[in-house]
Amino acid sequence: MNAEKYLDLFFNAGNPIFYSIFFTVIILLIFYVVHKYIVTPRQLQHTNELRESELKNARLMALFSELNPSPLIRIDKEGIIIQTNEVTAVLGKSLEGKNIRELLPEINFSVEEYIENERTINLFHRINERYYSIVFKGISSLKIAQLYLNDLTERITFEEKLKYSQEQLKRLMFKQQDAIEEEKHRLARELHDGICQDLVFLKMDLVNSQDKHRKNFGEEYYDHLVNSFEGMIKELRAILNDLKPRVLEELGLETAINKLSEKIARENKIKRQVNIIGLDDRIDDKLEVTIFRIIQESLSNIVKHSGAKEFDISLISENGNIRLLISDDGTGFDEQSNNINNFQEGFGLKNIKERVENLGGSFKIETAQNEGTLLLIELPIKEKVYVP
Amino acid sequence: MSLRKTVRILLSDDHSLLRTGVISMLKDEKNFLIVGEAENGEQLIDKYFKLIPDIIISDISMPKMSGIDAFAKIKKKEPLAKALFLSMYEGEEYIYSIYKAGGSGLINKNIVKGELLFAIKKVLEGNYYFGAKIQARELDEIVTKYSTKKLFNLKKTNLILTDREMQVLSLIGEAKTSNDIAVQLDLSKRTVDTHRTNIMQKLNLKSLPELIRFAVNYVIELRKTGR
Repeated sequence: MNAEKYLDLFFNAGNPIFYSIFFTVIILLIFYVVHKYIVTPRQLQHTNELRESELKNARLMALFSELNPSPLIRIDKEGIIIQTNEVTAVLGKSLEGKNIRELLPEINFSVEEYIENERTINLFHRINERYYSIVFKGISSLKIAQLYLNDLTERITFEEKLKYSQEQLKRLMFKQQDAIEEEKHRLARELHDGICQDLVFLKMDLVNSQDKHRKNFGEEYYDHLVNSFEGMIKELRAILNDLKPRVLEELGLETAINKLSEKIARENKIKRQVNIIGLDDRIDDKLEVTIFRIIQESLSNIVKHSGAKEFDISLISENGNIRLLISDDGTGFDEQSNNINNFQEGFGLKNIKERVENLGGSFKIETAQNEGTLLLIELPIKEKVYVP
Repeated sequence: MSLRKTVRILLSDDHSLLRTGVISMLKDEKNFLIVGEAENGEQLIDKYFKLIPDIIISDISMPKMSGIDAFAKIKKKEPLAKALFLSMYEGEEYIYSIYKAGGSGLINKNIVKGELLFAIKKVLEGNYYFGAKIQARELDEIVTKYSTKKLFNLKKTNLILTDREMQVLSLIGEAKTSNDIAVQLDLSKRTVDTHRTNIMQKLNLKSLPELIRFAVNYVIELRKTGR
């Protein structure tokens, strides 16, 4: 057998092996051509398109930050500013490359740790007369941290204005209350020193020299005169007493509290306890009046709203401070829900609180439904100044 | 003290009219001599120590310092000082305040001569004079009514209560709220409330006012015993 014969036999059109191989090669060829000239370009095009659209997206996103009306800062793990948006310029010129701590000394923590753990923190800082709330956010995938700054200056200015006008209003209210109190006192003093004294002296004269006057006026008319004077004096005294706590001014806080509570307890058939400790000397007029008015207001609340059977007033003067505890065993109210049944009562308590705070003291209330109410007041003592 | 000796009087009122009235009532009495007049509380103190009168007759309501306040200051330095007060008011609160300041009496500004002389005599004899209706018993009643009473025994309280309850009780007396107490003692508010309930039960205190009063006095007693 020779090789030529085998070759002939192999390449013979009738050989199935030859055919198989021939066709396989052709098919592979077609595959190759299709892949190279049709599939690959398509894939390439697709990838390009994808990349382009991603880029477009990224550009859009960048534009977002760029167009963000609030400053936006990106820093690396060292805290160096790597990127800012346009408006960040309000914070300072050419910030890029500087350390963020020059701008925000509050960042006294490790930026790297915040980035790694994707931590977020809220800061508040004043830069160039403007107030910013700052959200600091670590982004571990990008190895950067972003700072979103939000300008709160307008809001804070408004808040400050509001606070200022509220304080102004409060001051005005106190001033008004003081003025009313002063005016009442002035009026009372004038009536007392003027008309009231005159009436008393006239009556004194009538009584002291009655023999002479009885003869002049006649018995009947004389009696009528004396009675009229007594009536007028009594009426005037009642008016004076309403105008100012006379007992307070003349006899001091201890006696005035005793007298007031005794009267209220008697008229409302409530048990009272008064406990005044360490108040040996008189204290500042305004302080006396404030404490007296607070007690008046509290007792009026107690008898009007609480249904209490008993109240206690404890006042302790100690180490330059006055502690005042006013308690009752009435219905109380739910402190949490802040549901003070009666508007008047709520207003009264608020008024007390403000008056106490105005004098540099503190006011607390402790109460629960059906467990009574306790007012806790602390005030710094001011000594009485006797005006020369 | 015999009234045969001349009685030296210091008269104090901001209204000259009233001073004139009193002077005119006393001018015919040989045993009485008005040695000085004051127009306000400060002058009263000054003149008292210059003149050392046997008795002060003073208005209560005066400018700068009330008659009672001024007399309390005098009485601190000179325990033998005597004062009879004049007022348009005669309420119990006036009587108590005068009593507390160490004064001896109160008469109405409407007073007639006879009563004035009687009152001065009473006071100089070392008695009180608060008008015919107020005798020793009535005065006692007024004083009891107006003065603060102490009601408890510190030692006994400390025996009944646990240390924790004593702490809570004293903080209540120092005007702390349950929340404040909870924070200070590092307890929950509920625990503090339980202590409160236990304290009230153990000490037989039936209401919030009773607890507060007890707690306040407890703190004062603690301070006195230096704890």
